[in-house]
Amino acid sequence: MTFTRRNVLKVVAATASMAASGLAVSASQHRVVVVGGGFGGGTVARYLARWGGADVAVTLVDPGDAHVSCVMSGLVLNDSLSLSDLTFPFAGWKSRYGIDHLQRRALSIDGAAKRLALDDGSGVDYDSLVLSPGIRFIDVPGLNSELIPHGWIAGPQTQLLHDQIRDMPDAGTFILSIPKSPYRCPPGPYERACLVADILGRRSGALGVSLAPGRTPKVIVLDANPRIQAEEETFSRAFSELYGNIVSYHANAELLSVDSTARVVETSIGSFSGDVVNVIPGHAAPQLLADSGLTDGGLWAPIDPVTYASTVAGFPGVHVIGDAQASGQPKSGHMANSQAKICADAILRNARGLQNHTAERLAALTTNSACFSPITANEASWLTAVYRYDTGSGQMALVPASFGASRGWSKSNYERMFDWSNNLLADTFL
Amino acid sequence: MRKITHLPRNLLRLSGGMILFLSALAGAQDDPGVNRLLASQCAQCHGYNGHAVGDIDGLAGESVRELRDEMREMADGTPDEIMEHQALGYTTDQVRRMAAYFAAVPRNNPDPVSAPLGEGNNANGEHEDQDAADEKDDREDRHHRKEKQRADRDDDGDRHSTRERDDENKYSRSRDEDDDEDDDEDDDEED
Repeated sequence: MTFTRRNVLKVVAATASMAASGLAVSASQHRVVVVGGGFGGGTVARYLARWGGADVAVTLVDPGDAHVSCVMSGLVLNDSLSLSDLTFPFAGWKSRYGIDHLQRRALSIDGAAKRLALDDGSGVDYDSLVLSPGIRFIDVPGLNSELIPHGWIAGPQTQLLHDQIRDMPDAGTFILSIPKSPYRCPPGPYERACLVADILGRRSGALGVSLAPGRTPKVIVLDANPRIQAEEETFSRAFSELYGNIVSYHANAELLSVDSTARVVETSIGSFSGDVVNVIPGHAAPQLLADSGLTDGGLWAPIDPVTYASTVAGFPGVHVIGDAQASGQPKSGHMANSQAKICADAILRNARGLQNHTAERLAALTTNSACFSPITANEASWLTAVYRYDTGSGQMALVPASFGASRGWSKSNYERMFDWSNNLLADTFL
Repeated sequence: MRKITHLPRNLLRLSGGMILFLSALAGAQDDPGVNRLLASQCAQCHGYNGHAVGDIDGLAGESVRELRDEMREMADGTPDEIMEHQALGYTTDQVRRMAAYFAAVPRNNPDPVSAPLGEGNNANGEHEDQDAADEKDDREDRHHRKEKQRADRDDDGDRHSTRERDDENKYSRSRDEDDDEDDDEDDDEED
């Protein structure tokens, strides 16, 4: 459905009156600083403001003025969506929720003083700090992502990859390098292989048609993992049946180095060159977390999933949500949103002197994952799971019966994908 | 081509009366903050406070019985759809708590809650026992049937579905109307 102009105007009128009522910071407010305005940060900031009301003062620290959603950004590659469709400005959060935005980069954390240092030399004091910074990429020898895009943080990289695909020869070769798990969006790389095969197949006329070898485009998937990491049945079938003459999938192909100018990748199973080379490097929590000690020497930040508070000593009031934390739940925007609500609730309970580890609350801790993957230009698959707190291990555990995937792909799934994403985006950013 | 919908959300505040009303629908021993947290996990697909956009079912204002029965039906048999899998992920008590929360969210206001946690936590003395809750379910079912009949009758052939009309209406109330504790009942007269 669409929203009428009439509706939007009425909502704007309502929010304008809210803004006029004012949300001045007072000394008694619990000061929460949120680093990163993506799916985790957007959700936690807005739910803190909504649930906490006048009890909290929320400040977002993000060097940008908007978040560009990775969710649905695959459809930018085939021109079904534009990046502007997926761009969510922070500007309205002040008037709608009273959330302040410091357009700065966070540099370091003083855990004892409870102060976050910013890139302009200033700092901001917090009672609670929520880090939702997403990921950084692990260095790959020779890789220059301005030449060899990753397209794995939506924005200019998505556009660069889009333009390179647009400009490549009809019967050209596209190389996709997939990092070892865990990486963000487990089905994402395989979805990308399908979408690129669809784009190139349509353009060359090779989709489902046997053409001479020189006239058939190639999509070479080099997966560092031993097998397809999500929806294996769906993607295996798509690769072998739908795109059998275009896609070739190679497991255990670990990336060693890249020649970014010659567009050649060296892997554990050999050397490959292409007209467009898309290297998604391995992931880790951003440098801010590693440098501060919050990753405890590992790649990700260990947390208690009851509160998402860091379990590293010396950081009272510091929480980590989304891709950067180490709980083992899938790394995705939907999951970051899910975790953010548990974190927001925990912070508010702390601020109000309530316990978080009560039997009642522990029995109610759930997160969930749902996602759709376009397999063709108008068909999609889905994957879903529910996680529940396990008191024995102190971790979130998959509820096995809840885990499931679509049987193949369909047009109705494709339509439903927009309903899912519109609700997720609205719950996170609007 | 389908588009991503940019929909601003309003931020209306909850009166003290609504806090009591929300708390009253929870079970006698429920921590209302816990119920709210559980229900918030539906919002990724069903919208903030159960006010969904698009063709996904909204949950706000559904009766406890409706929500419980729907989840029970979806958990029955071999799962084939996303929600049939999701329904298998929650305990009976978790579903009851979610349903209690959504039943108390007004259909015409997606953002009624800024209730401080702990306020009204087992302290308001307005708990309902199961019989009373079921009786309320029946009352709400009757109300919803009536609402649908009226919507069907009013349909002037503009091809808007009942759901679309509900969505259009949900932002159009004044703040004063939203503050009414017995909001649902008032709808009968207002519409």
